[in-house]
Order: sequence, then structure tokens, then C-alpha cells
Amino acid sequence: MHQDELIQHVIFNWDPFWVSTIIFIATYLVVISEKVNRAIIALLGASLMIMLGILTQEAAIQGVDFNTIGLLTGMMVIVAITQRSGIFQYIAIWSAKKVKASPWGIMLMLSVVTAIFSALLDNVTTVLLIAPITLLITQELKITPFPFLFSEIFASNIGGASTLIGDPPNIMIGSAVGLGFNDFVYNLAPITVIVMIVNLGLIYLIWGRKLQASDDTRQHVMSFDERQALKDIPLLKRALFVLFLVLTLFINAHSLNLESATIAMGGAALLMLLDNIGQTAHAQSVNVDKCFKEAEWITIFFFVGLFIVVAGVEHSGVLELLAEKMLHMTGGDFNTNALTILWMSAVISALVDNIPFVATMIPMIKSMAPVFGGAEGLMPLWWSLALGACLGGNGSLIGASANLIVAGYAERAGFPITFLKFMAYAFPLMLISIAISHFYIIWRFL
Amino acid sequence: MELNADINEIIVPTGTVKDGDTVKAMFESCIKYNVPALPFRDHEGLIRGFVSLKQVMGQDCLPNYLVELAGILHNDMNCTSQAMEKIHTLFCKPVNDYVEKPIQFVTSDTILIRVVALMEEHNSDFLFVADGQDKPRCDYKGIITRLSVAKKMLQIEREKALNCSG
Repeated sequence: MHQDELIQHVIFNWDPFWVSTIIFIATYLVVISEKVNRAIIALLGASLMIMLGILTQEAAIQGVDFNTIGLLTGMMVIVAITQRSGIFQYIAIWSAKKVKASPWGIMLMLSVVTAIFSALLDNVTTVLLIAPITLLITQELKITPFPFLFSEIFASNIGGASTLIGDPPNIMIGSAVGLGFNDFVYNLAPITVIVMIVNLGLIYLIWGRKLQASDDTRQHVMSFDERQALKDIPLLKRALFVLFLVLTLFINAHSLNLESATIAMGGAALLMLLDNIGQTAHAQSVNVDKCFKEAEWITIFFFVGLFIVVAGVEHSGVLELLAEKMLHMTGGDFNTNALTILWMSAVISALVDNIPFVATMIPMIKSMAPVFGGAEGLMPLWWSLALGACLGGNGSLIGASANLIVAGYAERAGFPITFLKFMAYAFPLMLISIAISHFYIIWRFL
Repeated sequence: MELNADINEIIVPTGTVKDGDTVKAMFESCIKYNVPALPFRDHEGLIRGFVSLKQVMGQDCLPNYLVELAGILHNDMNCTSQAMEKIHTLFCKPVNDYVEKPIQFVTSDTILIRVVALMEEHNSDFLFVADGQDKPRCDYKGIITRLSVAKKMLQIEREKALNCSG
């Protein structure tokens, strides 16, 4: 039905299949090249899909997953306000002191803290909070920060894979399939814990066992006063209350019949309210403006544009055709499909942004439902996609935003992380993570 | 009697830094004239931008993580002594690496309130004063700082009080 309507509207009677394919590929290529800001190019691709008649404006709006947008934006605002309290730095310093400032102990603790934060917040924010502390501590211990930053990058992507809100691919999959917070924790958290332990073990063998620091330098770390990191105790109490409330609602979202975007946006609004009570109207405006500015609008508009571009290729039948081709290649075997999605997602996500990849895969996998016995039968494919896309991000420096953020931060601080050096260690470790996930998927879902 | 709001008497005449000058030389000039920034002349002697103490210190004196964790630093730390060593390297670098553009000029007949408005608009603590249409080849007069603006404001207030009492 869609296609008949659409063909009449495409300008010059061009074939919508090819027009949408060209726009889609061009958008992807420019996003990958990183020559133009990704939000600009996604919005431009989306505009072309509408202007050239592939999609009506109404169909384009319907293509945008506002649950994903709402969840992302709400969590960004909550995190932006919470981080002002200094709680994350407090916990990082506290954990470093708990292990008596031993280098391996610190690496272990900071990695675990990063993984936990990444599971509950977004990865980029987490690494931006942990990287400065890591550089400060390693400088005090007079040891190279590279293994620490490497381990934290891995931990952030692994931790992010374990929950609905941990990584954008999970948010997108959860929203598209109607999966809740508990579904991700129940199905993905166990494997992420195993992957995390294995990776930490390997990182110990590569670097951890050789790390040494003198008593004098360790004393420097022990003399940090973590309480100095806490900048606003009343804000901290409010933020922790809201975070606790939001997590509780996420866990009970299904029984309360609430969408995750509603919870995140409601939590953001409540935290802003608590943060502004008693302030003058002007101070409130300034404060709220500051909170909104800290949301990553580039990411949000990138998502909006991308959803429309993907809706364009979906409506014109391109993704259905790709799904058919994939089924043909795998001989229509469900298990082969699930494992192909896992490995393909991992390798592609290691080399390109996983967000556009997952946005494209979602409608493709959905279109396989009739072949595999309906939507319920597709669950192993969703978990394969989530694990592949999130863990695959560890494969190279450009595999995930958090990796690039840490590398950029370290470089500005005078500790450059080169692409090849990172990949030489990261890609094999990522493949090990995916191999573990491979067996987990077979054991748990197939 | 109309209050004198012209800026000529608060312009701080300064020299300029030129292509290839070191950061150390720039610091010395800033201290000599007691100003936070100086115009930068390229190899042809044309004014192409400016160099400020804030930019030099912010960009290279401290690693970013020390700024973000300033609250928890203490006096006896390896990272602070490393930062001090970095300052030595910084002094030998050419100022060219720190040139900011574009340079904002006002002419010497600009009134005080416009100077304040421009400082606010550009979120700056200083403005350069020069006459002439062609900016790079202009007749550079000096710099106006917030301190000199405050001085002028106090002077106007005193004049006003005298006028009222007279």
C-alpha cells in the first residue's frame, strides 16, 4: 500500500527504491567520513527523503522513535544535573583509596566503577568523569595512564551493553521491540559480567601484573580527600533521590504500564524542579537553560535525522530486500542468522558508528518475523544485535563515542592514544568478547 | 555641564607582539604595560589578531584534568610539579601558536558606555583601540581594560557629585 502511494509522489517519477538507496548510502558514507557533522548530514538526508517524495512529512514524523529520543534526552538532563554534585569523582577517589592505591587495584576498581556507571548512565558521560581522575592518579603514581584508560573504555562499552539505558543501541532496540529495563538486565547482564571478568583477567595478564608504584607515590593518592570532590551536598541528595526513583520505575515499568521515555523525562523534570525550588524566576531560567544546553543535541538530532532516513529505505522496500538476501545467504537457518548478526554487528560496529547500523538492522530484523514464527521468535536476534553492536564498539578507537572521547581527552592532556596501538590490543580482546557471547547465545537462546 | 565620557584618558598605550616572539617576551610585555593581552603583528607588521595571558595559560600551562579536579589538588603532588616543568617549555614557544582572531577594535572617539557594551557582547575583559579604516594597517593606540573602565566610571561619579554640590 505504501509503495503505491509513494511512487506517485516521487519527483520526476524516479524509482523510490533507487532514490532512497542513494540517499541512504550517501548519508552513511558522509557520516563515516566524519567530514561533516553527523547531525547535519542525517538531517540533510532526512530532508531529501521528504523533499524528493520518498516519504510524506507525516510518514517521516512517524518514522522517528520518540521513545528513544525521550529516553536519551531525559537521561542526559538527569546526568548533567547529577554530575554537578561531584558524586562520580567522589566515588572514583574513594574506590582508589579503598585498594590502598595499588596500581592494579585502582585499575580494577576504576574499571568496575566505570562499568556500573555506564550501565546506569551514558558511556560518554561516564568516561568523561572517570578519565580526569585516572590521569591525575596515574600521574601521582608515576605510571603510564594507557592501560587504565584502555580498561575503562572496555568497561564502559561492556557495562553499557548490560542495561536498556546503558548504550544507544540498547535504547533503540528496547524501544523498537518493546523491551524493558528488566528484560535487558535478565538477558544481557549475566553475559556482560562474564565478559567483564574475562577482559579484566586478560588486561591483568597484559599490563596489570607489571604495574608498580612506590610507597611514596601511593601515599600521594592516599592523601586525596574525596570529600573535597563533593561540590553541592543538597543537590547530591536530590539527584540521588531522583536517580533511585527513576531506576525503581524502570524496573517496574512493565507493571506500571509506563514507557521508559516517560520515566526519564519525568525524572528530568522532577530533578529540575527540585534543583530550582526557592530560586527567582530569572535564576530558574538561567539554571534550566544551562541544563538543557548540557544535553547532547548533536546526538539527539542525529537520531531524528537517521530515523527518517531509515524510514525512507524501509518504506521503499530496500530493507525488506536486504533481509531477504540475508535469509538467502544463511539458508533461512535461524541459528546461523542469529550468530551472523552477532559477528557482523561486532565487526561493523568496531569500524563504524553503531547507531546508524542498529537503526538499519532494526526494521530488517522486524521484517524477518513471518519467516521465524512471529515477533516473539525473533528475540535471540535482538540479543545478538545488542551484544554485537555494544561489545563491537570496543574493537577500535572509532568503534564507540566513548573511545574517541577518552582518546581526545588524553591527547589534550599530553597522553596520546594512537589508533593502531589501541586496535592492536582492542580488536583481539573484542573478538574474545564476541566469542564468549557466541556461546552464551547458543546456550541461552538457541 | 555634560559629563566627560570619552575614553582617551583611559587608553593604556602598549607595544605589540610580533611574529616569532616567545611567550616569555609576551609575558614580560604584559607585565610591563600591566595589561592582560597584546595585539599580534604578522611578518609584514600587520595586526592580525591578539595574544592573551588567559589563552596562553588556559591552553598550555595546565593539563585539562588538573583544571577539572582543581578542588581536590593539594600542595605536595607530582602532577603540579610536572605542570611547573611544563611552564619552562611554554616560555620558549612562539606566541604564534596562541593568536586569537578576530581582534576587536574601537576607535579612540568611542564613548565609554559603548566600550562597556562591546566588552559584554564579546565577553571580554579588554578592547583594543585603533584609528583608521583598514584594520591590519590601523594606527594602534592601546588597550582599554575593565580596570581602566572602572577608574573612568569612578571619575565620572566624582564629577557628577561635584556638579551637584556646585
